[in-house]
Amino acid sequence: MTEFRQLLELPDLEWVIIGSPQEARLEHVIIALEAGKHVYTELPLTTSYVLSLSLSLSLSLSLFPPSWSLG
Amino acid sequence: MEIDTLEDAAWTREHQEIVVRMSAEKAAQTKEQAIQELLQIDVAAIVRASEQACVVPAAPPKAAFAVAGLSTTTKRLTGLLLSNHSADCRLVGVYDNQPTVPEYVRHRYVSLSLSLSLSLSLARSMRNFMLTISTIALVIKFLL
Repeated sequence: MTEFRQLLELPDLEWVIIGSPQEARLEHVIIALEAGKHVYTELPLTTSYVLSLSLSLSLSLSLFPPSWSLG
Repeated sequence: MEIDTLEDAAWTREHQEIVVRMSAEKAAQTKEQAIQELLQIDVAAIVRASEQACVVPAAPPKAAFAVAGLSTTTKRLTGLLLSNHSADCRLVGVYDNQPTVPEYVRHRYVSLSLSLSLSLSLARSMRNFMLTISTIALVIKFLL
């Protein structure tokens, strides 16, 4: 599987565990959420406070219908 | 591609070697027992990860799921899910490609594009205009 988006196109796929390298983690989280998949991702989500805050605000405003969890 | 057990998962070479080594060291045990022993490493972390996974409200354990990245925590959590819910939980895909663009360039590009995307999302949804402007200003200030 060469592209992350190909993973999200798998039939019946409902949620994704994301433990990507840190520099790609947030990108994968956003892509997965926008694709309508539920997301469980590892900490830290980003190394940027502003980016983390922006994503948290977006999620709290339900811009992305799927749920997500950090751990 | 549907994967039901750790044995079928064609894990990374590292994981396979661990399983083989543990099996060799404890030849009396079955491979399943060796896998269970592997999964019991750092039980506290597994429990925390499991609890976090269970928090996901709209994704029941029966759902088909995929894994992006094969960090140790990801492998442990996946193994836990498969071992505890092997009849219900289906691992349907694994993505483990490393970024090819130099990390710094990629990170800055992704940060910029995501910042703009998130700011625009906020701008569309937030009724408090000043708060939106403030958020965008914060992001721009951070990037510059």
